[in-house]
Amino acid sequence: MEPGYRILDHPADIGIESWGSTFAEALSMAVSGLASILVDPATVEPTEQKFISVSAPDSEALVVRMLSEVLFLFDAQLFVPKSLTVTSDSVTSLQGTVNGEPLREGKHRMRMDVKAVTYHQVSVRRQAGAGIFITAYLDI
Amino acid sequence: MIRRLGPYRYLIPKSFMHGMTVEGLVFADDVLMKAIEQDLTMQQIANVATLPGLVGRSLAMPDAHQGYGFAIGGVAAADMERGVVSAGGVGFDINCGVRLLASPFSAEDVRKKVDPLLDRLFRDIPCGAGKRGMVGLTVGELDNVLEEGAHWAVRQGFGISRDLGFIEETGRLRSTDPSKVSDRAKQRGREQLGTLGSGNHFVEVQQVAELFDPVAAKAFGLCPGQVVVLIHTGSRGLGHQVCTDYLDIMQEAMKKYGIHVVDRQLACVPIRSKEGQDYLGAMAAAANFAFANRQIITHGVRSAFKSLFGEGNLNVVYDVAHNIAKEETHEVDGELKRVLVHRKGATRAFPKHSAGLPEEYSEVGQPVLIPGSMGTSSYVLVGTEKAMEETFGSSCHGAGRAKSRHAAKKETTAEELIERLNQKGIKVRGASKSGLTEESPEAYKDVSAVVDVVENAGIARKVAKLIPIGVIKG
Repeated sequence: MEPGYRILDHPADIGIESWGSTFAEALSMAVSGLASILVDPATVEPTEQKFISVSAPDSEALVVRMLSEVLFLFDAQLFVPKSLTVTSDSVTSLQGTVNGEPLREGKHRMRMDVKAVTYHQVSVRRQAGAGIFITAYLDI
Repeated sequence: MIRRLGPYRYLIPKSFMHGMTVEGLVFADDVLMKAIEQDLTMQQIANVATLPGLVGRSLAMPDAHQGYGFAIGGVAAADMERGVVSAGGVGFDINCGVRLLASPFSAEDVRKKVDPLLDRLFRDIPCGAGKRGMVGLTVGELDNVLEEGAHWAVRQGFGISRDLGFIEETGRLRSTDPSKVSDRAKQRGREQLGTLGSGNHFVEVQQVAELFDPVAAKAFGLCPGQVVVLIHTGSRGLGHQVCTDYLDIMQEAMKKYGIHVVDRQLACVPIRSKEGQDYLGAMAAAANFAFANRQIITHGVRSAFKSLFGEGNLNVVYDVAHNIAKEETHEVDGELKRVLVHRKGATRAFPKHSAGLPEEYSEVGQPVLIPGSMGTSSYVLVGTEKAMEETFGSSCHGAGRAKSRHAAKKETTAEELIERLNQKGIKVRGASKSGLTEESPEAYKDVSAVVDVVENAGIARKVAKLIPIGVIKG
């Protein structure tokens, strides 16, 4: 199965569903999904890398913390994300790089200000023969 | 199973769901109830009713809709001694709130220069994603903001001392503890002071269209045809990060306290625990950031008006927080009790003679500011005794979303929307086209219907209706 993501509808806010053959692949796609909600991906070149290391008590919390980390890079450091490269991962920890570039007004087409990643209905599901599916909702 | 109690109340009995320790109560009429029942709102009200140490009922205002953990429009009060505090019960946008400014100018005068006014507001007030604020801060200065809130802003020249008396808690929660706000939250907030943000945040120039209670309106300084300005924003990235941080801290600590919740977003800890006290200190600090933010934006609005219309004060009518937890005294089962009232998308609505009201309002009650959706009316209400009896002195906070952002976007383009509003005499400046369509008026419930239920149920009273002239949005 080709890894990918789609944006989900929620009465108040917005969600991401992503999938891949491994957890790392599905999570990378979730990061791409979040990036596409923040900024038009066509305007972002992944010229810089930010190292990232996250751990959590379980895989759902790991998803929330990873996406929160990307959001932090964007909101606090004005680093526009495009994708995630995972270098090592387990169920409860993950290292890798977020690929993107520093925000430049005029270059990047901004989309939405995401407030936070929520624990509402967050899920990591393994479907036999199909791979890993991740769902997470964002507060806009 | 859900019981209708008269025309404006629906009771969710404890039998609705295993583990409910108190009942749920929804304020709605038949029409709003149909909307509320379409998503997970009822379930979320019931979920809140399972939290330990709640008193009274798990409440939902008529603008309630599905949120995360708590429903938006939810109110829940916890016993200070045996109850819990939930970071999700305040929400990510700590002290998201509304401030109303009353101008001495008439709608007739302002309409003549509405385009240059909006251009100026849009230029001077940073809005939309990734924007830096009007004020850059060092870490030390940021701690002063978190300590002093709007008082800090006024000291820096962003306003006058009179403003402070007309803000909930005078724009400064004294329970603040900036040392409990993480470095990460401070990094997010440091350059965002004096920014509007995006989503449903806005600055709207409006006119007073109708008075329902001339006595209260007079006390609030409102008269027909007058131009007013409504500011809707919160604590920006700083508050969002405080909530994010404490959701994790609370989830971890719950194990220690033997607390289980039905939804992770409801993570909570005893109010009297270290984690509970830390959160409340950090939350108050974030709330102070939001009060300072609205104060600085007020300064931007005043400067824009001054440049176009000359001298003339824009007085603060009031400033309310609608995402907050406050320690208050309420009567529970005939006894006065100290409780922690979580208001998640709900506005404090205290009646006349309440402590902390400005002297000018003590004979009428606290102004309750209800922003409508873009292009529709907003309302000024006033708090009532009935709200003290039934809702821990709380009322609604807005129209309440009825459609998802995606659904709203599919139905209209930004150009169509701007043209449609223009034909209604409403000018719009927006940082993002998709942001505009997601916030189109059709995406929300009818604010007038929401306010009518509030008034008919008696948990606030209508004072004035405001209609938009122009709006800037993130």
